[in-house]
Amino acid sequence: MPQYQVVGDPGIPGVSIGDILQQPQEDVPYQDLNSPTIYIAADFVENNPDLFQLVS
Amino acid sequence: MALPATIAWEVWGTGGNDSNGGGFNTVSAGTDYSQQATAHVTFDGVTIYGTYSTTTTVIIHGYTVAASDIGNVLHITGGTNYTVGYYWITAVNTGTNTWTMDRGCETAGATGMTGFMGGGLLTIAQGVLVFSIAGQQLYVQNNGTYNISASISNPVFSSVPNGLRIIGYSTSHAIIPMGNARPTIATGSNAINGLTLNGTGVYVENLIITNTSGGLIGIDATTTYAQISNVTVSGFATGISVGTTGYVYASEVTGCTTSGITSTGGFIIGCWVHDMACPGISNTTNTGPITYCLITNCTGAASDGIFCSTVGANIIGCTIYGSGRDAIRMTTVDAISVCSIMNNIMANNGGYGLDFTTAAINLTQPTIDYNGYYSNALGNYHNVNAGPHDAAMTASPFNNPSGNDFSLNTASFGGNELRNTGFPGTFPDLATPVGYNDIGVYHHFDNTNPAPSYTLQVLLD
Repeated sequence: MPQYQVVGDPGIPGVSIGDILQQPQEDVPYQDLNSPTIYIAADFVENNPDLFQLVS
Repeated sequence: MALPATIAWEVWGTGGNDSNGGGFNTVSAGTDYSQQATAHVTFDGVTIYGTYSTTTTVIIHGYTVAASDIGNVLHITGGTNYTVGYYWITAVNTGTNTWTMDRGCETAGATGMTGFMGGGLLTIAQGVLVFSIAGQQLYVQNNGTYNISASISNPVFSSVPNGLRIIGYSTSHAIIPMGNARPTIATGSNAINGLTLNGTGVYVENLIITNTSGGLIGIDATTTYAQISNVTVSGFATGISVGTTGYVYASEVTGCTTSGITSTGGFIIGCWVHDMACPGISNTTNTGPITYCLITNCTGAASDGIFCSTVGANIIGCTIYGSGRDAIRMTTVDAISVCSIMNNIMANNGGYGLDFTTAAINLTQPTIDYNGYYSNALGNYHNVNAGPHDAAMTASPFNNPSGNDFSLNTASFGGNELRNTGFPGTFPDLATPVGYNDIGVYHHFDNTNPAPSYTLQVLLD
């Protein structure tokens, strides 16, 4: 599953720079592994490279 | 950020609510709650409501948020310090029970938010109003007749081309509905247009639009780059009006009183225009293509299958049957020089097959050829000579025209004359392979693929 790292402030309370986001499975939102109650829309993560950087 | 082009709006029809969220971001990976009649969450401002966390993040009370909420549109309708509007949910926090929206929707102290998340809209009129950016799509479910008393008219965006799509569907967005599986817009006896398209590149697909008397235009699609497909329009003065850059294809028009389709040079492709006492297709201003159309039973003393005033038209592969006057009528002197008429059948029309009304030109025009003529009351040609590859039949070429079956029969000097005899057969200096185009809309299926001797004669010309 792809992982993204937060590199900018997305304006979502609880999400911090350096957090790792992972999609638990295909076609579901990304989960913040550092704050696992937070889920973020897939296209929001994948289409904002200034905020989220693909790490794996 | 604003609502993106990937938002799909939903008109649910019966049971829907024009206050619902009515939309979903199709690439967000949440669960689409717009494809249902009622809202997934109804915020009443008292027991279920939102309060301030940040300008974009709302604390939800009375409902437990879930990751699957992501992607859905929230329609905020009120509350203290809230901005009414449509927002989509970009993130949720199941720990703090919050939604984060695509943009700011509240200010400090906000409370008592009212609104709706999920649920489809009730009316198409509301559906076109929620369009907010080019590329968005509006799905209209076949769920009860959409009765309207005012034309449905989409907004125009000043800074970008519209690029909007209005798409009828039955059970799934992914399946193209046919026949009565398409949703119906009924205008009754109101003297209105059905749809009035505005802006650039508005597409209308998979709809039925009806009027019982007095209607104006079924679809006014004279705006730039409009596209109409898989639509049936009936009962209006004019069925569809399309502009120079517009397209009408795979559609049906019937029961109109002034003209089936009017065009100023747009593309009219694969349409069935039939059974009304007025011209089938009228073209003016620019030489537009009219191809693969079936035009039948447009009756009345002044009704032509295709009528061109001021310019000609490029008419390819059509079948024109039972017109009150001519199959094709062109009233401008020079139309013969700015048209091509090939691979058409003109049969059983009350006037001429092909009528250039204003001048006795009597040319043999290279681009007016390969047509089939049968039983036109005043003759096959007026002011133009027969093409060298034309077929003048002595028997009906159709299998069952009274039953709307205009496929080719095998009768000698009937349908057989049109099989494998269309243009092109071969190209200069390329004798093989040989093309086997039929003349008219319907081509025959023949897995033995014989070439009749008539075709060989054509090829040797």
